[in-house]
Amino acid sequence: MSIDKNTIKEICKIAKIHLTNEEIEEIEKDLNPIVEYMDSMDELDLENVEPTYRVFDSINPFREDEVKESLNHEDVFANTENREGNYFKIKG
Amino acid sequence: MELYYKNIYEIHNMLRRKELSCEELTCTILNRINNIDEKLGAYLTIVKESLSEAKAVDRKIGNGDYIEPLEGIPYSLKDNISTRKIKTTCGSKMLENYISPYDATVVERLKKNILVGKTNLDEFGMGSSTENSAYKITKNPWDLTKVPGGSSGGSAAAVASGLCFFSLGSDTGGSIRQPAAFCGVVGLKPTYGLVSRFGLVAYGSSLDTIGPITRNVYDCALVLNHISGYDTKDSTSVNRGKKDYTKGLKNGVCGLKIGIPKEYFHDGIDNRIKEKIIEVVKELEKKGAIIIDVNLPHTKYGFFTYYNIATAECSLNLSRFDGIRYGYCKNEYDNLNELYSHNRTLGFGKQVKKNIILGTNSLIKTNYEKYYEKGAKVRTLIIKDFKEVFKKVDLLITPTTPTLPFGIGEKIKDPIKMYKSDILTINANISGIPALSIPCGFIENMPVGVQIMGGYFNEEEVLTCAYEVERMRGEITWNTSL
Amino acid sequence: MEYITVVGLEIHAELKTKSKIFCSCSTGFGEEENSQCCPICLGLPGTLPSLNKKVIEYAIRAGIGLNCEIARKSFMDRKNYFYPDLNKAYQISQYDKPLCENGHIQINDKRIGIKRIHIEEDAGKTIYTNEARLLNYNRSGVPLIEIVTEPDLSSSIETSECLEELKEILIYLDICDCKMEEGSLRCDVNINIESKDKTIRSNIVEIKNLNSFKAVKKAIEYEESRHRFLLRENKNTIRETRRWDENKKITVAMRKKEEAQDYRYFPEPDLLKIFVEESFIEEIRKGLPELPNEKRNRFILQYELPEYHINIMTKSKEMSNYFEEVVRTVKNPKMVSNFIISVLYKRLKDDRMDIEDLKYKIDDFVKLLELVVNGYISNNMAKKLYNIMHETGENPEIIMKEKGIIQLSNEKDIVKIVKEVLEENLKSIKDYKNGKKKVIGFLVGAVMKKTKGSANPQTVNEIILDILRKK
Repeated sequence: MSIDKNTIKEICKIAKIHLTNEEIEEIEKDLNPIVEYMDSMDELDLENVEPTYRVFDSINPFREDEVKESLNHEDVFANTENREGNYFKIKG
Repeated sequence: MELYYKNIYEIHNMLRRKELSCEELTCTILNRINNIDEKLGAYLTIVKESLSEAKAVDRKIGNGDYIEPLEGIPYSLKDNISTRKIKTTCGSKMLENYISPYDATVVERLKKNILVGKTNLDEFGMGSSTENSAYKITKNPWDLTKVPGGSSGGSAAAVASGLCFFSLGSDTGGSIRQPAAFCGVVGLKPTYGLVSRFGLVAYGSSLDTIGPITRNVYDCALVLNHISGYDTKDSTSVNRGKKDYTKGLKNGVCGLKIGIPKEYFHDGIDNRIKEKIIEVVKELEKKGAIIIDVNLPHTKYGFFTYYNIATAECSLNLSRFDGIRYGYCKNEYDNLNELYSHNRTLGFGKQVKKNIILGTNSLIKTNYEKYYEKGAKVRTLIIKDFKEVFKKVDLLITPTTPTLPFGIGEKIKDPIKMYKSDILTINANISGIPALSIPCGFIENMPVGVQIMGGYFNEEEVLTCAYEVERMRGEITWNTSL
Repeated sequence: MEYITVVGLEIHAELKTKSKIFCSCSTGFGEEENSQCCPICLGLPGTLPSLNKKVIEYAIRAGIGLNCEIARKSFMDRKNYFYPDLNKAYQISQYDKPLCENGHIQINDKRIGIKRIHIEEDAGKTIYTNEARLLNYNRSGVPLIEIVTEPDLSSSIETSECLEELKEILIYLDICDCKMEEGSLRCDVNINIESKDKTIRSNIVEIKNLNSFKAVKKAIEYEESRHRFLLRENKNTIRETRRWDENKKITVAMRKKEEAQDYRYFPEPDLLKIFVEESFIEEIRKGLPELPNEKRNRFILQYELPEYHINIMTKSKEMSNYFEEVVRTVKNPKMVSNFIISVLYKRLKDDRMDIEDLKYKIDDFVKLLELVVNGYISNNMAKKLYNIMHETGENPEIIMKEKGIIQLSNEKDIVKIVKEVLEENLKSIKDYKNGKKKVIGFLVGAVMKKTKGSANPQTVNEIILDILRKK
C-alpha cells in the first residue's frame, strides 16, 4: 500500500488544506517511505492486544456545577477582525 | 563567571543579600539578548515589561519580605505556552498576532518569576531542528552553523547562551531532551500528568508534556518543584501531592539498579556517542550502581506508534485553526470551503500540513483500524516492555540522540532520517515515563547528552542519577561561540 | 399494497445545569450574544475540557427514567467536522460507549425501545443574513443528551404520543426545559415504509429542522405519502437527509447519505474514563421523583378513578400535583377530578393557559369545592362562581357576598321556601300521592329557581320528600 496523489487529494479535502500539484508530489515522495514502513508492521501479532489511548486511564475527575465569570467582549473579539456588533461574522 | 551563567541558587542568594537587584539582573539578561540574539535567533518575543516586574521584586526585597528560591529569576517560555497579553505564535504564521486571553497553568505557577521572552520552536512543535519556524532559524550556540535541535530549540539555545536562567519547553517525542543534548543543557520530560498541560497549545495530546530546561540538575529540580502538581483544569493531570525534588539529589547512586537496554545502542547510533554513554555507565558502576543489561523488545515499533498517534492527534488538535475567531484570516473566499482551505493552506507551514495529512490518513474510516488503532495497540506493548523492565531496574540509561548536532539545512531534506533522530526519545512519550537528558561530555567541541529514564513518577531517582553524572562530569565551561 | 410506517427518533435535550459541560460559563438562555464564553468554550488554543458532574447525574437520571442500563465505564470521543458554529472543529461526544443503553418507553400497551442515551456538547448558533453568517457561541458547550430510539414507531400519532411521553418524563425528572421553540428539545426523524411481508421497502430518510411536535407529525405524514407514491410508481426514495419547510409544509432534500462526512471518531485524549459507582447510581435512583407511568398506576389504586380521569389528572406534573393538593383537603377524589375536568381543565384549554397561569389561589379552589361537598352551594352555582374566580382571581366567599348570593346553609330557610313552593303547587302534591314520582324533579327545579340556584339540590330533594311523606 502506498499513498497516491488521488488519495492525498481526497485527504486534503477532508483536512481542508489545499496543496499545489508540486506540493502533492513532494508529500507523496516524503510520505511513501513512512507509509511503507508502517505496512511492515504486519509482522506483529496484535490479535489480543487492547489499544491504549491514554497513559493513565484512571477515573476522570469531575467539576462541580458552578458558574464562574466569562470573558468580556473585548477579550472575546481581541484576536479577530470578523466582528459585527456582538457577533463573529463571516461572509456568505 | 559571568552573572548570566550563574546558577539559580547563587543568584537567589545574591538577590536576598542585596548584592544584586532584580532590576540589574533582568537588565543584564535583556542586554545580553539584545547583544547576541540577532546571531542566535533564540527569541521570538522579548517582554520589555519584565523590568517593571523586576522592580516590584526589588521593592519586596527592600521591604525585607521573604522571597522564594525561584522568585525574581528571569526565565523564558517556548512560544507554544499561552501567555496573557504577550503573543503566543507557536512559530506559525497562523498565530502571528495571536494574544491569548489567559495564562497557562505553568505560567500562573511562575507568576513570581520574570518572564523575559518567548522562544523559537519548530512550528507547533513539529520538528527536531527549529528550522521549521515561520519566523527564524535558531542556531546552536556551540556552533552557529549547526542546529540547536528541536522543537524546543529556542529554549535550549537561550539557556545554553545565558539568555535566561531557565526555560520551559514542551516534549511530544523528544522536543525537550534532544535540543538539551544538542545545546549542552539539562532537559526533563516529566511523567505524563505531573505538570499541567492547560495552556500548552496541543500537538499530540496524549504525548505532550511541559518540562524544564536548565543549565544544571539542581535548577531543574527547583523548577520542577514549582511547575508540577495537580491542576483541576487538566483532567489528565495526576493528583499526587507536592514533592520537593531538590531533597534527594545528593543521595548518590549506590545500590541503584540501572538497566542498559540493548535496543538503544543499535547500528544507527554514532559510535563515539555510544562510547561516551558507556563511559558514564562505568563511572556510575564505580559509584555503586548495579548495571544490568535489559531488553525492550518493542522499541523499534515506537516509530510506527508515534507517527500514527502524534499525527492523528495533531490533525484534530489543529482543526480549530480556521481564522474565524483568531488566527490567520485571508478575507478572500466565496464559500465556507474556501474560507477554511485558504486560511489553513496559507497559515500553516509545510511540515504542519504534512503531519495533518498523515494524521488524517491514519484516521479515515478505511485506515483507522490498520493505522491509528494498530498504533494504539503497539503502544500497549511498548508500555508493557517498560513495566516489565522497571520491575527489574530503577532507571535506564541510553544516548539521547543518535548523532551530534547536524548542520543547518543538512537533514531537513531527508524526512525519514529526520524522524529517526527521534527514535531514542519517543518511547518515553508513548509510555508516559519521565526521561531526562544531561550533557556528559563533548565530541568535536559539540555536547553529547545521556538520557536517564525512570518508572512512572520516579523523577526523584532520575534527578539523583543525573546529579551524580553532573558531579562526575564536572562543571561545563560555557565558552560557546557567543 | 399495504405498507407499515417505520419511524425512529433522535432527540437532543439540553440539560438544565447551571454551567456548561466542560467549563464554568453560564448556560442561561437569551443573554447578550457571545457574553457567556471563555477560552474553553471558544475552543482557544491550549484549553482543555473538565467534565461537569451534574451532566453525568442528569444523564443517569434520564437513563433510569427511560429504563436503560447505565454503563459503569464509558468515555468521550471526538466527532470531527468543520463548521463555523463548532469552534474546535470537533464535538466532544460519545460514540463507542454511551452512558446509557437498552432502555424503553411505554406508550399505551406498546414498548418503544431506547437504543442509547449519550452526553455531548452543543455547538454555537448561526444567524443567516443576506450576505453573512453571524455567530454566537453562548450555546457552545451547553450540555446535551442525545436519546436514540429503536425504529419501533409505526405512525405519526404514535410518534406524537411517544414524544409527549418523553417530554413529560424529562420534565418530571427535572433535567430539561423541553422548550422546542428555544431549542432546548430538538428532534430528528428517521423514516421509511415497508410492506407487511417486508419484501418491499423504501429507503430510510432523515428529516431535520423540526421545530414543534406538530411539525414532526406533519412531516411524518408528508413523508409517508411521498414514500407510498414513489413505491407505487416503482421508484424508491433516496437515502438522504431532508429538511422540513415549515412555510410550505413539505420536506426538501438537503444532502445524500453517500456524501456523509467521515467524522473520524476518535477517543478523546483530554478526558479519562468515566467511572460511575453503583452507589452513585443508587443515590440518583432514590432521589428520583415519581415518573408518569408509576404515578398513573398509583392513581388507579389510590383514588380509584376511571381511566379517562386518570389520563387527564396525570397528563402533566403540574396537573397531578394540583389534583393531589386539592384531594388532601377535599376527600372526594372522583368529585374533585370531575370538577377539574369539566370546569377547570376546560377553561385552561379554552383560554390556552397552563395551571401556573391561574389567577386565584389553590386554597380558594379548595374552598369552592368544600362549599359544594358540604352542601352549601350547588354544582351549578360552583361552576358560575368558578368562572368568576377564573376571571378575577377573587376568593369564592367574597364573590358570593358581592353578588348577593346567599349561602343556604340553614335547613330552616330551605324548609321555609319548600313550604312556599308546595303551597303554590298543590296539584303536584296530589300527583305525588297518586304515584307520579316525577313531580319531585319539577318541585326541586321550582325551589332552585326561587333560591336563584343557591340551594343544594340534594338537600332540597331530601326536604321535599320528607315533607311530602309527612303529609
